This record gives sequence, structure tokens and C-alpha cells, in this order.
Amino acid sequence: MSPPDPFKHELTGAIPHLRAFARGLCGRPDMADDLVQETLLKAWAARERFIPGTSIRAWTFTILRNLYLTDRRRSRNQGEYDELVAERTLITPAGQEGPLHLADLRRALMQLPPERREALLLVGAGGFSYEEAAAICGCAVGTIKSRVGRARAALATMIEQGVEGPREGGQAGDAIMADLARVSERAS
Amino acid sequence: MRSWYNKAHMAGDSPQGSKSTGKAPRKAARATGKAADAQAGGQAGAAPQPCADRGPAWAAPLRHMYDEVVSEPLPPDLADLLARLDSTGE
Repeated sequence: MSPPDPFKHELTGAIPHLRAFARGLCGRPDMADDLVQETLLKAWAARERFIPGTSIRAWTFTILRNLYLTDRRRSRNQGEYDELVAERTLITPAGQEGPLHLADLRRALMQLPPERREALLLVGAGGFSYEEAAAICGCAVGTIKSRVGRARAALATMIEQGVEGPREGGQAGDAIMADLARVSERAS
Repeated sequence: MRSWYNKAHMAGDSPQGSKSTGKAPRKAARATGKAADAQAGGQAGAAPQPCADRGPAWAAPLRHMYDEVVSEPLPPDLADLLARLDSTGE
């Protein structure tokens, strides 16, 4: 039996993170997984260019981000808008109280400009340093810091004021907090 | 009333103690990213692990959201794709 391909082994380990990043970027699970599939194919085709010992997560996130931006430009040309994507993201089956609250956070994220959303996802959710996020986005570290700062402020305002209107100010935030506490309890 | 997010928003500014400024140091990012991979359980095909304890306090809700997806089982179509990469080598 031949030994496992080290590149494929690392690529496999990156998939859950690619899915999480993609879902945060585009908001829709089906679209996110399509994006991950495309990313895996691109990464596999370009595997000779991956430098062993470097971060495969950063490398594949860069590929995924570029694919997302390409898809987004194409969608915009076809007359599809992020608002539609955001609206679909919000649909949560009745009785799933927990996911509904987490959906508030997702909804707020989807209302951020894409460049701020990706900066927040990379640094805040993905655990990348500002330097790593800057390398992935192809911009200066200061730009990433600025985007993260503005995104945090906007997210806080949206959540406090209620993302979609019907919920009163702090209620959405309180609901998310309660939901997260439940998630933490389950995990511990 | 300030929301939970705003409280977290006020706590901590620097992810992983990052301090430097200036242009993106691509090579340095690649090198340090390896540590991030290991921390997040993304290295060498290791089982993905939730990473709620890493990073700044303000990002905890985002990490929970991210980790929820990380902990999901791999969808069949992605598993099929991986298998096909194995068998075809393309």
C-alpha cells in the first residue's frame, strides 16, 4: 500500500476551515460547499506550487477568496445581489430557536461590506494574525486592521439596534449570548 | 443597554498578540500560519478541533459561529471529491 500523499493529507485537514470561511463569506451552506469544491480542485491542480512547511490553510483560503470574488463579480453582472443571499441566509425552520439566534450574527455579518466581512472572518473567526490576513487578502496590514476595526464597530451597532428591525435593541444580542452560552455548555 | 457584543467588542484589540504594521509580509505570514494551522487542528489532516479559546475576547461569538461549521461532518459530495482525487491523481 502506498503511503498517503502528504499534500492531500494537509488539504483534507483544511476542508472544515474552508467550509467555515466560505459560509461566513457567502452566507449560504450550499453555495459555500460549491466554493469549497472549486477550491479543492484548484488547489489540487496547483499543488506543485504549494511550499511544504507553509500554511496550507492560508494558501487555500487565498484560493477560496479569489474564487468567491470572481463568483461575486459574475453574480453582480447577472443581476443577483447580496441582499438576496442575505435574505436566504435568514430562513430558519420553525422550532430551531438556537440557530435562529446565531442567524442574527450571520445576518449582521452579511450586511457588512465584503472586504470588511472577510477581514473579520479571517482575524476574528479564523484566528489568523493581521499579517496573515493581509497576505491572504493581498493588502497592507494597516488596511486589515482598519477593516477589522470598522467591521467590529458596525457589527456591534447592528446587533445592538437589531439587525432587521423588528427586534428591539439589545434583545438580539441577548438572545445570541444566551444561545452561545447553551452551545458552550453542550461543548463542555 | 450595551449588548454582549459591545462588551466583548471593548475587550482586547490584538489577535494573537500581533503588533506589526506596514505592508503585508507574505513570507512571514506563510511561516506563522503553520502555527495557526496546528492550533486550529487543520494541520496534516488532523481531526478539526473547535478553537473557541484562541484569539481576542471580542471575537468569541464569531469563533463559535465558525467552530459550529468546523465541527460538522464532511458532506458526502466533498468526501467523494477527495476520493476521486485519490483515484485519478488529477
